[in-house]
Amino acid sequence: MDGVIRVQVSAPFQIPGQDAAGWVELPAGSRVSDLLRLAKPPLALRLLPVVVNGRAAARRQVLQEGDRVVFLLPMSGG
Amino acid sequence: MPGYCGKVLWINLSERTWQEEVIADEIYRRRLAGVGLGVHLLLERIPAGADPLGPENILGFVAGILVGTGAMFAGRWMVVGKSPLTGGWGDSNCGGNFAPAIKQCGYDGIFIAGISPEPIYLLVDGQSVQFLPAADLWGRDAVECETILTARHGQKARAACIGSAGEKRSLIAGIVNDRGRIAARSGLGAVMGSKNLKAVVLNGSQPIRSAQPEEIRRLSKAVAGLMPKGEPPLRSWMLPLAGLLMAKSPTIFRKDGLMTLPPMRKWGTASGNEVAVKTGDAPVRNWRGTPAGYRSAAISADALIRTERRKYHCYACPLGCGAINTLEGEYPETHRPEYETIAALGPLLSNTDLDTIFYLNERFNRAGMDSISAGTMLAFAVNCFEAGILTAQDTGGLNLKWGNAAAIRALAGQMIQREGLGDLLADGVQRAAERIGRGSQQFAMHIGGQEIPMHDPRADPGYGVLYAGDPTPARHNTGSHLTYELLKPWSRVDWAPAVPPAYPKAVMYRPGRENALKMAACAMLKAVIDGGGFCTFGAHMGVDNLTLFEYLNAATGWSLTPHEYLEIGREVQSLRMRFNFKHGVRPAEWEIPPLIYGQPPLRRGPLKGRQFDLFALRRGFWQAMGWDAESGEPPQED
Repeated sequence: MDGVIRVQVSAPFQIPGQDAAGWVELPAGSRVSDLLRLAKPPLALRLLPVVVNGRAAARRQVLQEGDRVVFLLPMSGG
Repeated sequence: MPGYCGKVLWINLSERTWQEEVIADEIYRRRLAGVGLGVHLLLERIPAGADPLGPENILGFVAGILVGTGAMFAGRWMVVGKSPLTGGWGDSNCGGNFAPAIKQCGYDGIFIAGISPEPIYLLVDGQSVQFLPAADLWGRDAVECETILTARHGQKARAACIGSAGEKRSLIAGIVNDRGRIAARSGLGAVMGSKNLKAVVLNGSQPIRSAQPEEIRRLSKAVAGLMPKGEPPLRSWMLPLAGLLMAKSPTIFRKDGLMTLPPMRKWGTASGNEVAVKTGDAPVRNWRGTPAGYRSAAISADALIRTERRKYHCYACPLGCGAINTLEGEYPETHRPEYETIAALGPLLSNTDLDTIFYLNERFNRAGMDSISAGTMLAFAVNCFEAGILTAQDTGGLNLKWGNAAAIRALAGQMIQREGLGDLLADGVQRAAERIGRGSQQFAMHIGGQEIPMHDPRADPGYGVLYAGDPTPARHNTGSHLTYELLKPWSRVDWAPAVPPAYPKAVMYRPGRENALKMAACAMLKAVIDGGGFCTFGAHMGVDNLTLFEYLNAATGWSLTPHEYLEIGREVQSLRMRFNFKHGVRPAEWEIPPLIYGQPPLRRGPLKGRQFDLFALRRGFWQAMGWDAESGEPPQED
């Protein structure tokens, strides 16, 4: 569909319209910040660092079709 | 070829004989390789009542199906046998570069019975087995031993060695490869020592093939594409802050496996150090303290990489969570200590001297001693000293106070050398407490004889269920609620409960079918992960991202469903548990320190007042595994 992109998002919050595999449709030209605007997570989660396709990304980064977006929630383990 | 080699090697050290055995395809299809193959063979062949340190015990070195096929994260080998620490099934898992060497000799497993009359090492190349004298190696540490053996047999040779702990039959001894990677748990280094076997050297060159190599390449390209690139956006100072927020939140926010990768690339498992302290996951002061009493900045993620010399990757790993750090003094370098080691030698002892943690990491690696167990022993001794159960006379004048790094170093040295009080501590905390008596048992943190790892079940009761319910007790990498979220089995298996993006913490502590199924899925998956030879950190990407089941089918040419793989996992776990019952180990009789389920509850800190019914949760887990809910005994196989 013209004007729509699909990105796969891993986040500790749900984005409206996101499917079980994490895919979500967005208008072309959407930015990382638009994901937060849609999801409206608690304040602390809005501050989480983000990587897109494995690289550190700013909130203003424009998303592309097929991008893999991961909000990093620290954890213990090992 | 279907990934696996289709045969194993049997060696008898008493008779100095060896023979190959062809394994039917059907066995791999029912058990996979790795631990599954190991327990399938040893359940029948180690007689009931066999002395773990006697000739009848069989020590197996096994590799996973996917090792050597080009599958990412498939570089693990496992050692299997009867554990002298627990008296039941023992296995331990290790990375480095030893796993493919097993299969390059043409074997999925090398099994060693009998006892050599004098110290030897084995040289295996797929054509023959040589029984070579080890008099010149006996007494050397594992790193020295490996250096000598690779110089002697060529840089392509791979060696797994014991250090002084195994030689001296310390029941917390492991087996070491790659100059400090260690299959540490279950005390199987003592079994190797009891056989007078200093090392196993592998020098084969046989190819390892899979049924669908193109598909393996395609999957590996996709997995490699998920690896982080460049600096992560996380900073070290953010980690304790996140831990504090998580500790205060009544809600669990669901983790995703891909979140683990950027911090793991930069800091390895040390990325979790301060999160663990702040959330209460890392036990402090022998499980009796709180984070407030420990300056976690001493073990911050950045502190752990300050002396990093280079990154370290295990075989087939696209992530590289390891590192080699420079040391000053006696040893030039060490593998960066993992979280478990740091927690056991840091918060557990209230020790903030990072130099001591690095130093002891190297000493334990070279001695081939399990650092989880060793840290627990040291904390036990400090607790006993504080309570007046041990005195300066017992400790040879050591002032065993919390955080006294010099005393900790000295006592660790005694444990490694089996001198003084260290001799008594070298066989694990259960035996030490039995010998000391006088109420010391209350400070002995073990289940079924094995020391408890560094994840507090009061913070995640899933760890407790599997510490107390897994056939090998006190095992932290079988699963937890966090593990379940990361593995994400519900993406492939319909009976595995889905985890919502956010849920109340209290849900984790409730006995019920859903929590039971989650832990059962973890246990079944663990058996599949081991059978494939995968690293658990790789698996933590999620079974969907790792394409775990797709890899297995591509290697073998099978068309099994995820559900069928989990059923294999269930049966492998059942075999491990049947081994226990055959050898008289009844898991329902394991003593469990009440502290780990909040008896008495902590009076302050993030885990304040946290209590739960561990036994009800364990009954649910055993039932979900298809085992008797009260005893944990599995039914006989059809």
